[in-house]
Amino acid sequence: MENRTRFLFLSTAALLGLFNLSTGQAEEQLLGENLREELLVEPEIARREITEPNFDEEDFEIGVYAGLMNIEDFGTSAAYGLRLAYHGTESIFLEAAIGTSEANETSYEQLSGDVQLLTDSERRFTYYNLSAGYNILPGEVFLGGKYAYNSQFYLIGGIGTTRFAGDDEFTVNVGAGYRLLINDWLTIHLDARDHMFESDLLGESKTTHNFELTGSLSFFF
Amino acid sequence: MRRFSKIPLRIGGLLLGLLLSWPMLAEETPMRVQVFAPFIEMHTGPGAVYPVHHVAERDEWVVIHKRRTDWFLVETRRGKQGWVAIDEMRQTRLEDGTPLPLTAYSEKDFRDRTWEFSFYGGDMEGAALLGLYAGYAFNENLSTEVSFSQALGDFSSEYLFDVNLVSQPFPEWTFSPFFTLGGGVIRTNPNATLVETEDRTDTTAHVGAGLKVYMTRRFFLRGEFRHYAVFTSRDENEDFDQWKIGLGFFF
Repeated sequence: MENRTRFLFLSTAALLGLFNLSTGQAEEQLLGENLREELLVEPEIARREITEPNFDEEDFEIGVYAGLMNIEDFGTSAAYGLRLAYHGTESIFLEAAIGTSEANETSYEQLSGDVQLLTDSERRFTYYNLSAGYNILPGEVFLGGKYAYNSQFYLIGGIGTTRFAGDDEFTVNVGAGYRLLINDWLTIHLDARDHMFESDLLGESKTTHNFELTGSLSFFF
Repeated sequence: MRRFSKIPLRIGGLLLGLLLSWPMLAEETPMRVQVFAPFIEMHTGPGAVYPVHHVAERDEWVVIHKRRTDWFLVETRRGKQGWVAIDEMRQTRLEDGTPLPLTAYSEKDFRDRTWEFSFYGGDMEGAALLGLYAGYAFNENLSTEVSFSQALGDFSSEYLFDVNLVSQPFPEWTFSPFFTLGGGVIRTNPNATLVETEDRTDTTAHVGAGLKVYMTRRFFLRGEFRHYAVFTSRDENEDFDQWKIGLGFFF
């Protein structure tokens, strides 16, 4: 009984299949070459609209920093600033920063007593710069046996302007830093940077090196 | 009077509250996907160099928390978190069974961009030039830009603010030329060591041409030449040339 039903179904299916095949062939022969080509070129298939889901993308990093800056010939004083970075790939990022510090007196000013080379407002050292950074030596640091944090050592360099002693100077900065990721959005930085520009403030024109060492707290958004 | 004095305090408190709750707010509505590959590797950090500390197997459901560059922070049902590369995320499926549609940024995205930002350095009649601009694209061929630059010369520094239109006739070319036309203002500040000079502000017009080159992901390079005419209040107008090269990113 079972065999007979199976045979019945199979033969019907085979017949239908043959029928489809033969009608298909017949149709194909009916179509002219030109028409077929047209069909191949313009298949009228409704395109499915693919929209990329919206994720919380966190490629920007914003932070405040504070530390020390050594202004050549003018001693070391506190420095602080603001930075915004865009992470384009897992290793490359662009950074814009604005920072400020204040020059102390030169040793000549201190020894001579009354002489002042700069006014108070000219002592303000303000810079902004645009830099590109590259993360090298990614790693992990361990705190006790229980906590592990990701870290990155990066090289960075760029160009910018420094306003000091009443003038704006074209400034090149190079440096390196260390980024410690506390969790997936909060980071701590240690950053050492040399801000170099030409200055003729003390007579002869020379390239001044202004080293800055800062620590910062920043977060991804 | 006392009632008003509390308002800044309240606003401050509100802002602080918003700031503190911001990361939490941003993590709303996580998306759930099912692993379709034999397994996906979860790294400890968003980069290929970070070690794999866990794998999610086929048919396992994971929640996507966020994306950073081409890495996704996912969490398994057991609460394990890790970063998964975009290539492996493509092998997961949504609740309705369709593959998770993810695109890495390509040259096509550069053509379809709406916003672009760039900073540049260059030369303006011997003075060092630097600046940044933001651009908005109306379509593949036409966009508008706002730029702010500073030129640092030996005797003065100049600030330029420009608005311009950019035409890019061949957006599909890898080295795609563009032409620009615009206007703005230039402010000249003579250096402090010079005497008997004064600051002045003049209007300008400029014409220029350049090349845009797509690099990788959201980055592109741009080189440009511009010729400026300055409409001064003195008897004759000035003109000068500007060369610049910049690195930018787009959305």
